[in-house]
Amino acid sequence: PPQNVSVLPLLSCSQFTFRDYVHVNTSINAFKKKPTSVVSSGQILQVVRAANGAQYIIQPQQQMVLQQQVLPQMQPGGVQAPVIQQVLTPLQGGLPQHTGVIIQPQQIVLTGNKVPQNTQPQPQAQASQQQPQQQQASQQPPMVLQVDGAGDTSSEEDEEEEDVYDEDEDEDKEKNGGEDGQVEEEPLNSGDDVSDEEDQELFDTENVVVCQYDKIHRSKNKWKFHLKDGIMNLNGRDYVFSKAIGDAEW
Amino acid sequence: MAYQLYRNTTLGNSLQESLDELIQGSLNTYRFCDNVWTFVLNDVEFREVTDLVKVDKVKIVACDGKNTGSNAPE
Repeated sequence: PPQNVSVLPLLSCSQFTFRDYVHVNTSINAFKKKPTSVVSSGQILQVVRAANGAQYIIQPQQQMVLQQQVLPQMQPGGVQAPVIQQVLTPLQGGLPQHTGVIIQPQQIVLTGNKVPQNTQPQPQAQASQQQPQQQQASQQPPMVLQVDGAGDTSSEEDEEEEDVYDEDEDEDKEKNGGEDGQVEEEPLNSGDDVSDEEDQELFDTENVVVCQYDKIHRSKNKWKFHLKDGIMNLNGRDYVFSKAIGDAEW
Repeated sequence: MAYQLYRNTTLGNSLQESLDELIQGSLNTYRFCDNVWTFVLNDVEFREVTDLVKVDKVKIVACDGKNTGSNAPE
């Protein structure tokens, strides 16, 4: 029998055969107001198991809404379901190991495993919220209530597939580059560098003039050059000048 | 003292011809950095008194010739 939990006559005893007490490590504001049944690390809820295997959690207060808590089982990338979900830790030889509770207004729904045969009241319970591994050889596999949709393993598989796909793409690119020498992408990339190439070719002319300038004038797009003391190499021939005047349009 | 005796020689004529040289063309690019002008002209005509040189593309690099052009101490 529980030691420090008040008995709550909310349900008739004829409908239920067993009572379990579960120690839940949650931060429920509704339970904080309760003077008793406050353990150092959490609350103690009274769980009643019916004959058909269904389990009910009896809350001392009528407030059925629990605080939404972040569960480690929730996917980090998944969308937090608006439904309040609370996971209860199983008892040794008592409740099933995975028990999910969806608290809805004016309604308590408890989903979990079927009731094992050997049930004994256990005042002590595990404080951790994480669902521990199956300690005993339970008859049925645990059923975990998942609100955000099933997709844990599939997402990982997709990621792996995406990585592989990227590698394949890279390999294809390399193969194409080695075979043809010019893939469709290369001309595209080289097309972006046309301006740079033109600049490089533009300044690598053989006809060069080195000189000094007296004055460089510009009017709109009309340029005038006043040069002096210059040496020119035009068409392979050398020329010199002491003064040169030029006009050009830009 | 500089003599003007040699001006009517081939060398003198060449030097004099180089005095006035007309450059005509279209300016493709111009750059002025660190007091250095760099031009690239297209379809340029270098006209001298006697000769005419045409080039499709020429690069002209011109340094500042004001006061800082002389390197000789004297």
